[in-house]
Amino acid sequence: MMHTPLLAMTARIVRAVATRGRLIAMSAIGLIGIAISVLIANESDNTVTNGLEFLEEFGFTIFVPLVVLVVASATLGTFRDDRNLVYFWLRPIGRWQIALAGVFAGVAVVVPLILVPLGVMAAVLPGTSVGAAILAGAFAIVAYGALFTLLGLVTTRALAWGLGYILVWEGFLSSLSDGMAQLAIRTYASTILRDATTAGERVIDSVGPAQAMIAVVATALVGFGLTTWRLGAMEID
Amino acid sequence: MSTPPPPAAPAVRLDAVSKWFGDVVAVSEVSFVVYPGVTALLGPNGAGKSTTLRMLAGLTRPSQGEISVLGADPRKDRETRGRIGLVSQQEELFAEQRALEFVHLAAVLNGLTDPDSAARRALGRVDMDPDDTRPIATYSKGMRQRVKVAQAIVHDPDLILMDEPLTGLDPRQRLEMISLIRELGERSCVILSSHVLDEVERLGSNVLVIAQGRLAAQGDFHQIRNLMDDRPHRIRVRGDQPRRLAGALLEAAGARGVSIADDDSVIVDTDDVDTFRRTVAAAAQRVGSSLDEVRPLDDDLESVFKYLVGR
Repeated sequence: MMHTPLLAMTARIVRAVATRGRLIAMSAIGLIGIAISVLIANESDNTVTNGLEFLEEFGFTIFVPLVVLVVASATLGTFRDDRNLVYFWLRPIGRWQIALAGVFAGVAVVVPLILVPLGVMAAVLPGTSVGAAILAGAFAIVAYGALFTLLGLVTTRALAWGLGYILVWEGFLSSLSDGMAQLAIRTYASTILRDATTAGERVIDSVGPAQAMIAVVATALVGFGLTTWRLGAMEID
Repeated sequence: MSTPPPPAAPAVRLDAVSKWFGDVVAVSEVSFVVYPGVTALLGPNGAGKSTTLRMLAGLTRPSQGEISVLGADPRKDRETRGRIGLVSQQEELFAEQRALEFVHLAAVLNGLTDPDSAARRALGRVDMDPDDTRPIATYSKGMRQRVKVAQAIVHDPDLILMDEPLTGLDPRQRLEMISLIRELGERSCVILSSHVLDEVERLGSNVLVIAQGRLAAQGDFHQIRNLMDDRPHRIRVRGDQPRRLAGALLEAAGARGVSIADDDSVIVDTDDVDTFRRTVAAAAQRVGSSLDEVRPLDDDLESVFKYLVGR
């Protein structure tokens, strides 16, 4: 049994979130991505371009945010919904520790669910780098993890709102202009991915990999800060 | 001549506290001070007891007024939160955990240096086996209640808040829990809520009667019991000669008003229920009426609370 508050809460949240059903469903999405990657690698005429596009369009626009949404929104959200948050809240610990435990737990659960399939997809698809895919995936996980942990704490309909955000904002609106693209996490994940691939060209000319990493970390810090603030301001059932 | 010891500092102070949720007023202008020992918030369901306890724990802030718990604001003061133990009313616990894991987590989060020993000790105090390997999900309501108490007392808090702590316990467990609560009250301030008068009586506690979100009465249990007994009572008396019975009862000591209800019963209003009970049989015998039933019509707690609020 864990003897520090942060680790003890993280372990408790992981245990609550990593349900068999959730793990199977999320693994299935990864397996679908791998299967499609194999098809693309074997059948496409221009596999280099198609491989990168698939990794960006499926991997970083749907797969990564969706898996993180399902898990991270449940970390503190589950405890809020079943009224067990009080067992963390009414203790002499900082709110930031509860917020951090939520983010840590979400990240701990999704890392194998996301990075392993993402690495396999990148290995199968020509013109992509396994290392870059995993690096970009790791950064995206942290940013989405912090945002969706907050979302789960703010609303009981986190999945619906999160899905809307993924499909409408990340998937559609961000592709309309460079200005809007700068407000989408997928842009920065793609920037990190492209920097190490043979295809090379940037998503937005003015954003390099270093700026992308800074932007992703800043997004995660904002999400974490807002979660901490929310925990201090909210009423606990 | 020795000087009496100074009174202990109040553990809890509420000053004109109100709490509303939208248009619904849950607690209205409540002020009281609670000292160490056992204090019961007594009132019917929906009276505002749980909301008051939640405000004391800092889980929700008052809409108006001020709350001081152990000299600080529990929502803002981290150290104060570590001096509070809460037994909430909710049924959900970390269901897949063992009781020891659940209480151990509470000990760790409270910063105890030896959480294992503290968790085992707390479970032992509520008569639970720390080595029970079954998950909490398999426990009865009473066992879950005791686990909740264990996590609330694992860090020996100065203030213990218990929302309906006797709910779900069988008679033997109730006796043990009452004994534990009295024991906890000897060194801590215990504030519990209950809607059962007899429970509060057995705790021998101070009582704050809350009804319709307002503080209706306060005092030790005997004062509250007297207050309740002194109120006007309405009693139905059934017999085969209701008119004669009504006349006789009107002359009997203790009756303030008598009305004929139907063919076989009269309704009596009295301020002195004990005297009335002593004289009713003789009055019926005197006029040759049978005495089939003597039944209080307003002895339920709702009526008692309504009376206290309307005083």
